[in-house]
Amino acid sequence: MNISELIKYLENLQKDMPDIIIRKIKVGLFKYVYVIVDQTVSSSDRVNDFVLKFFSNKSIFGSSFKNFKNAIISNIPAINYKNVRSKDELVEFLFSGFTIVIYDGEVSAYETRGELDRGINEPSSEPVVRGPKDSFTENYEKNIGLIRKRLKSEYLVLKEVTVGKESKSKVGIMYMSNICEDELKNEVIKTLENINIDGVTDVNNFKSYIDNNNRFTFFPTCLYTEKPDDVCRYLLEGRVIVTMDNSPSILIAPTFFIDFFHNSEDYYHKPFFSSFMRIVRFVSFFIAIVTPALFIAIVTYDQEIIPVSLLINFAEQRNNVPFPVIIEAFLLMFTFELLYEGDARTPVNRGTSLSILGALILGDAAVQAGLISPIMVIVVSVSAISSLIFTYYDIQGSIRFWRYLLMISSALFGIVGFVVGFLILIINLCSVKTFGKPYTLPMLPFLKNEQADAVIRREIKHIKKRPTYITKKNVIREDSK
Amino acid sequence: MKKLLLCFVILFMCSGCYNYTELNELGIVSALSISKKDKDYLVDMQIINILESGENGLTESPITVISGSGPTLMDAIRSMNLKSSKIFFSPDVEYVILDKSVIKDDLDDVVDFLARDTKLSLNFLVVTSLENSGKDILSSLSQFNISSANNLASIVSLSEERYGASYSLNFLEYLRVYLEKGVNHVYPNVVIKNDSKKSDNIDDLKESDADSYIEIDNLVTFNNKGEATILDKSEAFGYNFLKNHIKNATISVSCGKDKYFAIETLKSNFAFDGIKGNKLKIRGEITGEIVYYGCDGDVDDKSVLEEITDSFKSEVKSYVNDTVSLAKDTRNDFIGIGNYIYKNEHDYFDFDKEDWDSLGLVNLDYDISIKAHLSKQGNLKGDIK
Amino acid sequence: MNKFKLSNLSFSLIVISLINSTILGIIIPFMINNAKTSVFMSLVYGYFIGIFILFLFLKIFNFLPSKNIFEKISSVCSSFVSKILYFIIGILVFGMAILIFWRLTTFISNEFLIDTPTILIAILLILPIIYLLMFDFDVSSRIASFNVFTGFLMIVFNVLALRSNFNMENFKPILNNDFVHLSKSSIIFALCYFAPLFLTLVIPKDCIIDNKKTSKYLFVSYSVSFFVISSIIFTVLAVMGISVSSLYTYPSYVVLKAINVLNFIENIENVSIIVLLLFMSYTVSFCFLYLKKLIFYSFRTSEKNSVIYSICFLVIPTLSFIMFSLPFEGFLNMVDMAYVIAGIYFLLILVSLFILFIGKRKKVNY
Repeated sequence: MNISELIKYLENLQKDMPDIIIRKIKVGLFKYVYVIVDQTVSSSDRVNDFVLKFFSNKSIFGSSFKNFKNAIISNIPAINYKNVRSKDELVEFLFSGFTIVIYDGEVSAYETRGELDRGINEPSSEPVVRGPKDSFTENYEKNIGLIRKRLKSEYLVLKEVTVGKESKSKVGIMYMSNICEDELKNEVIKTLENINIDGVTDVNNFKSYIDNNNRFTFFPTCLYTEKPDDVCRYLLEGRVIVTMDNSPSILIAPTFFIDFFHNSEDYYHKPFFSSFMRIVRFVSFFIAIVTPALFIAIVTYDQEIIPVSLLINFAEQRNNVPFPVIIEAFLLMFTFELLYEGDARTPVNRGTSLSILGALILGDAAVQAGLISPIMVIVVSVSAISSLIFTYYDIQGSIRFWRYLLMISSALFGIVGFVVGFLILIINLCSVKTFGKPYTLPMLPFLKNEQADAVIRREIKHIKKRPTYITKKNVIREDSK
Repeated sequence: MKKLLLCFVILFMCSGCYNYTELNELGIVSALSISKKDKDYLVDMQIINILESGENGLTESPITVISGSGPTLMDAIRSMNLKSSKIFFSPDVEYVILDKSVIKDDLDDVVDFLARDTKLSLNFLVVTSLENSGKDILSSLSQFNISSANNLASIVSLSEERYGASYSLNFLEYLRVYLEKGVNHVYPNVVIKNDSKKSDNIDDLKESDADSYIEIDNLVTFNNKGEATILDKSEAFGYNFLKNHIKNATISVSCGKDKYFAIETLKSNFAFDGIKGNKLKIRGEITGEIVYYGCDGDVDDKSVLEEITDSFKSEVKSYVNDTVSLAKDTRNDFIGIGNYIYKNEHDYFDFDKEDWDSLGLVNLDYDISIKAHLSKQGNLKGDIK
Repeated sequence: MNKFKLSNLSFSLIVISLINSTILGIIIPFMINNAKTSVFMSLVYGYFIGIFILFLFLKIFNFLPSKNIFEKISSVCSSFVSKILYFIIGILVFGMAILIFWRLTTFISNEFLIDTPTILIAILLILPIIYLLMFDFDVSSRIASFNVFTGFLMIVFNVLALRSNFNMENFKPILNNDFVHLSKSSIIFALCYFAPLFLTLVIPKDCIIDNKKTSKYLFVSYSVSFFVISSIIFTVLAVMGISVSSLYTYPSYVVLKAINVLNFIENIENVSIIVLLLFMSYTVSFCFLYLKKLIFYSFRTSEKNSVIYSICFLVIPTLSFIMFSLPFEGFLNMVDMAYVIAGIYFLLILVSLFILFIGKRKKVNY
């Protein structure tokens, strides 16, 4: 590369980016070393201590040309050394926090990255009662470090890919090479390598690329997590994880429906308790979707199912309400959605006024004003509380969609409409495939040998095999001898 | 292509809801009464009023009774829509009163209507009333309960379980008896005691000692010509024993002048045991407990216990005897002997060509044998004397 | 087109879901009206005839195991004969689907949504079937598993809830019905109940993993299913008796009206009957998938086009049939559907046996 052209290019850049610093150090007669740094992304302490201090050591001056060049390449005290071969690479390294050293046609880059992230905190979106409480941050190395310190294995492989023409984000794909199936990892790597986009901001942008076949489904098909112990569990099952620079989430592939009902805490409690909680989660998923629709169908089309005393009670309540049942249900559900979304976005110090408003609207005042009936408040609250059990946000979206669809179909046709809507839900669920495998494994098709950890969990010492529907390589979890 | 599908789906969604009914548009029918006058059917319906809850006491009637008439049953019911703003909701009908005018005529129309309706359940009771009209019984307000004004259905089923001389006739059973050969219906007879004109007055409910109230009087049965036969207490007991409807009945047996003992039955099992010669064998086995002993002698004594058992057996035998002879005398097989013979001893009588009631039943002899096991109940050891 | 793999359990659950489709309103009233109280004898005879049908099926299933029925026909017969056979099979299966769909629609129209026009109900019911047409048999197998799990649970609940209403006297008189009626009842039962197995010839044997155990799984699933339908018939007779059951068009629905648990759960027949609706609509969708494959093989179109063709050629005629048969509903109700369906299955068995016979004669190589 032509050094003078390069310097001219960098000085040009500096006009619009005053945070680039170009330092010309004289190291001998007509010998100059250029040290270029972008001070917003690198740590000036490190640049001073490790790179500039080397050049301030006057003993290296005066040595021969070639020795000096070798000294720069091999003796600067920075562990991460990269040889820059093109202008694009130089720009990438410069804005990644590296210090560029240019001397005699040789361009080197040394890592002196600044700490631009928060420290390791508790996970904000996945609260934990028992178990490790660290979570991923925006720092790529720290994230991989959190995983490596849990899986100290020679088989934990990392493949790096750069995605995004302008953002040049570093994407890491990790898997256990003795467990993960080759087809799976090849497919993930190939998909990510073929992405042609100008920039990505978060790893969740990759969901639609990794999951291209499932555009028409309303179930969440890609899992992400912020907890390192979850990630290690998935790696040991043979899955592939995708992590990205500047993103605290990690994507997991492949994902099955049953993963959204599992929690890492299930493995830290007794089997009876965890099995019970898993069953509660399934039942609450069902209740969250089905309750308003069933209520509408029973109250407007098939009233004979209700016992007489309850029927009289309901009829009394509905006397005062001007709206038909379906409109009332939609109004209340929509109000609840507004509250829920507002709660997620409101800062903590404004939360109290929101809760008072919510209590007013959904509570006694609206009933006494004659706008809604008390039983509808209860039905909507039951459905909403059941959906709050899931911390994973994508499931909330799918619950909402199916809830509204079932409400419409049962408002039009009663129980028959409800059954047809539910059948469409089941067909949608069964038609999803992740990486060529059915989404509803291991429940449908029913695999008898995989039921040790599906809904009812056995004791950990009895779970000796990995799930064979994910990987067939190295199925037995052996302990070290 | 996709837009076409979307248009189709949206059009479909806007089609309107045909079967949609709001809860407050429903008129919940809790009882029906069917009678016949000249050639027209008279139908009365008891509809539950939706009252405001939380009021002090009762200022309005909890039920409304509407009547309608017409040449067919559907006509009669639809003519009530001229008087009522509600859609009639029939799955919660608790009982249907069939007047004797309807039972005497051909019951086919009524049974067809009740069986064909898709909304009626099969669990409602069928009762009759010989003395009062169906409308009076529906309008009476004794023993108020929010789900049915006089709770007649509960009275009937409780009296079957606890009294023993009554019987609750479920519609499914009614239909089966109607279609099968060799058995006739037995209805519970409902009566308004004391002053029937005051029974629909709401002020009557405010007193603790009601002036008029509903009671189950006896069982009544009708033969093929429509003549009514009332079963008195012993005959009703005999009928219930034979049909195994007895659950917890109390039978008082006299053991001397003004002295009685009382037995409560726990389990009772009667069966017909085939015909030999011309004699039908009736076999029964009863388990019971002594709940009251007012006779001479020590109940703990084995011989006294045997005596009590024998008296009890003969008392029950007399009940059964009364019942069967009543059936033979009135030429009305309400017990179901003909049905048993049709199912088990098919060669004995040709049901298709001859009339069982007047030819077969009359010439049948019978032989009753009963076993009884009694034990003592209660805290007392021996008796108080 | 045959890229999916099924397990033995999934295949047998498909079979269970298919054979239970004709219970409501077709088999049960027919058997009760014909065999009267000897219905249990005819059930047992029908079971043995069914074992014979299973045996015939296994013979055809094992012949050329890597090919489904259409590929078998085209490899065994000349192209002209295979076109005729495709046409015959297509008409038979389409007729079956239409009949079951018609039964389902009229049942819902009579018992659930009385005022709604029947054509709207038909459009509603055909929506999941159209949706399922876009996928293949592996999705269908998962739906079948779901149907069987929920269905059997509901049937167990219904039978247990009606236990208190059983009356053993309703089984007498055990009249010895003459042999003609008994055999008619058994043969029609076997054909309507066990013969839908022949619809699964569209799945080649090699698509099943570990297919040496398939016959054992089929036998066990038959027996379990037979036990279930016997318990349904037992319940119907024990609660209602012969004379009352013969009155109704849908005795298995009417018997559910007698459920009364703790005076609280009453009148839940509308919810309990859903299980039979699931089975019936599953059979219609399976038949439509079968016909989609037929269109694929006979017209040699791409997979996507075959979906569009099947929607045009299958869905629209079905809806038109429903619409035009509305004035004749009473007449059609009087016809014993059981004869028609049994006839269709009988012809289907004959066609399959014909192919096997010709194939064995020609000694076709695999």
